[in-house]
Amino acid sequence: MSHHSNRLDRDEELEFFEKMLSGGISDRILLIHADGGMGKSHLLREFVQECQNKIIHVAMDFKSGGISIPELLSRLCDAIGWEHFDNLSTLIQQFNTGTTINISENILLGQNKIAIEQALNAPDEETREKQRVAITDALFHDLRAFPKAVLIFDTFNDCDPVVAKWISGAFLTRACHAKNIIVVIAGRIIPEPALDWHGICHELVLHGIESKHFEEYAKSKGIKVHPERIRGICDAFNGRPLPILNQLEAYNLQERHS
Amino acid sequence: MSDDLLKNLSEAANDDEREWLVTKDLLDSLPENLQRVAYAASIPHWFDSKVLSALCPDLTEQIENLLEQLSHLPFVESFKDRGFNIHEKTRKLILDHFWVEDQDKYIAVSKAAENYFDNAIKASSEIANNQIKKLKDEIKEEDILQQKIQEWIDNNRKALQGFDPQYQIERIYHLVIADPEQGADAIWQQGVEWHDEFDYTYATLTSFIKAIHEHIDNGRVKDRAKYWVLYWEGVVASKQYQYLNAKKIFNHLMSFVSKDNRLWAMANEDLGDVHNQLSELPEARARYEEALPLYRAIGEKIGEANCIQALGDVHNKLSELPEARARYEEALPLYRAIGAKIGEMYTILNLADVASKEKKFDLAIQLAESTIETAKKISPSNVASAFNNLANIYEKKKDYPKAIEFYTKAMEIFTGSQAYMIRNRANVYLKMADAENAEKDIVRAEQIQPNNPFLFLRKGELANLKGNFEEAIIFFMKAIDIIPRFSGAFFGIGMSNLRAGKIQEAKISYQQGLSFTDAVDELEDTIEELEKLKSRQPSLLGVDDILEMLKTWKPDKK
Repeated sequence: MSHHSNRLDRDEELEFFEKMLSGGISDRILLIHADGGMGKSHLLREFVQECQNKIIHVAMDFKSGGISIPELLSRLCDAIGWEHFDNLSTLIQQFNTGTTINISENILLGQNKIAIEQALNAPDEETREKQRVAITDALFHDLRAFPKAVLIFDTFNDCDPVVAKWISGAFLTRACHAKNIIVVIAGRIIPEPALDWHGICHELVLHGIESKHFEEYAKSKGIKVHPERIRGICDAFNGRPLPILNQLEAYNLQERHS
Repeated sequence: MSDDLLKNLSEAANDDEREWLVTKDLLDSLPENLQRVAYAASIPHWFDSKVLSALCPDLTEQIENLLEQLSHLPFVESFKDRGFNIHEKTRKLILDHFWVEDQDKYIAVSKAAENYFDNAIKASSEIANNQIKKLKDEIKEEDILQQKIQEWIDNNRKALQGFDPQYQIERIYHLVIADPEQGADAIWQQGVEWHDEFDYTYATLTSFIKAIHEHIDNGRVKDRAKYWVLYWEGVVASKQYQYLNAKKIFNHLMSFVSKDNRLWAMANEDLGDVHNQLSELPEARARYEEALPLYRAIGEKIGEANCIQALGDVHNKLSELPEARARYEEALPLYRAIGAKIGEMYTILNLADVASKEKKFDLAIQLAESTIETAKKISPSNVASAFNNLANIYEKKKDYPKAIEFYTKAMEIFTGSQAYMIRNRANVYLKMADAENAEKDIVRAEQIQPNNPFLFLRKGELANLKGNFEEAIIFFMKAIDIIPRFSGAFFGIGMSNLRAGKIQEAKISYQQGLSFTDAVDELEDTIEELEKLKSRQPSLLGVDDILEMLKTWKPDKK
């Protein structure tokens, strides 16, 4: 069992992340590829825990849907504090000269998100792309002021296609050049490493967990199941945690009610 | 179950079946009320105690306790700012079985969910309306009022969560199950609202489509609701310039039969627009003709006017000018009757374009100038567009200084997106053989839109002007990579080859260009360019043959 309580074995992945944080390795972009139920969201929560009170960090989960680029930027800046984003704020104001929305007729949540939406508004795609790039530059200009910042994105497979393209392109290219930035992206689908940032990128595939860790987990929770049975279940699911934990919980409940 | 578990797992047909065995075992092991709550919690994409109370009203008193127990099960995850959700994979398995085994219950829970989210949206709306009314009574100065409203919104986000588009998506997601007909109408209406977002990414509409697709992919939603989702998918693809994908989606939609006139009219019109973008004009015309009577049948004036205008565009592209004018004149009073200023303005600009093609330049200029006042009431980009069209007329009139004057004015009025205006001005400089100014504009346009096919066309023409024929061909090929039927780029290659003395290659390029030409007037500039070349270099071989080929060409009217 790991040194973290009540958790299945993901020590190797956590150690890798700790090395990224300490600068022990040159990789600064971590792509975690995992099938559903493999425990990636749980692992990302541990990454967040690792950053807590030490490093500026933002974690975002695309499973909630509808996260556009303005929404993503707005959440990121809300989490860190808009007072740290002078360049981005100035650029948004510049792009927004002359545009107003009457909010008494049109309630929209998130003043900053609306401002970014308006800033990215242009009649043709190439101009919009140019504005997106300018806004990304301003964002990273501001982020460079921190000694270190960690950006974590979960469920990349649910990411809007336009946002996915932006993250894989302009966003990660700039993250690659900002030496204080660490980016973690996890999902059933992950960005295809590009020429300019693949050199500092580490791809990690979450594999199944060995049976012995489930045996220890069951023991720690007081679930009485023969190790042989756990091994059988573990084999059936190739060590994928979700169904195995579901079955162990079923045993737990059956035992309590019997 | 447990004794047979390993045997059943090994005999399961696939991973899903295997996973359902253990999920079902866990669900069956839960106390009765917790089991009910777990099934109900699978219906929405997220839940908290309020959602669960709405789904299981008879358990309201115990719901906090049940939620606490539920949250400790392995398949329950936390959901930022909204509570919890059932893990995606487990949720899909539960819903698949729930739908097959107890459809009535599934529909009943969906009804309760729709009701909950509808009430949440209405509650937020009521709170906002009351507060805004109160502030409007207290504050008369508009700027301060807007500021106070914004402050209040920012401080009351929880109470206003019903304005979050995800609430509306969730409501309609449940409505299509609870009442498929009403759900289909809601998909149409919500799509209309969301297909025109500020930043053109369509993230909300895409998220909406994705949510309803969950039901479609699992056979829970059919017919109208499904067709409306397909329609909006086609619209998003088209708006994102994925014309081939959009065509595929709309054609797939057309393979179904629907009695929904509105849907069929809109789908035909949008497919027509896609064909138009792909220069497939006969197909575009057929779609608009199909859509028009459908719009008339439902009394949708804007759709009717847009279709008539689009039919005019097809005639205009094919140089069928009297027919084009007749269509534009038919659309104009319709736009005016419903107060559609943008439609009115662009119809007049189209009439100006027809007049310009008929060489009635005074009329064309008069018409284009008349749109400027209307454009000022709409937006600066529309004023710039009016000046750009005016400049186009002067360019056709060969009054190049005036054309340059109005392109420049258009750029000064609207600096947001001016790449096409800069390219247009570069075109005029190229015609004046002013390589220096043309190059300046091309460099500027490239900074704004580096991969535009018309930019590559102008770069090729500039290279030709400078005598760099091999370089020119590379640029023209880049344009063709983006628009395979780009006749102008093929003519550009023809000119490069001709001037380089490669007569046979030149003839082939001009023939290729002609095969993608729709109307005789598209050849005017090419013919003029060749005649200028002939007068400059009378001894250059091949020019006469090519001129003959272009002048005798007639469009294929099939």
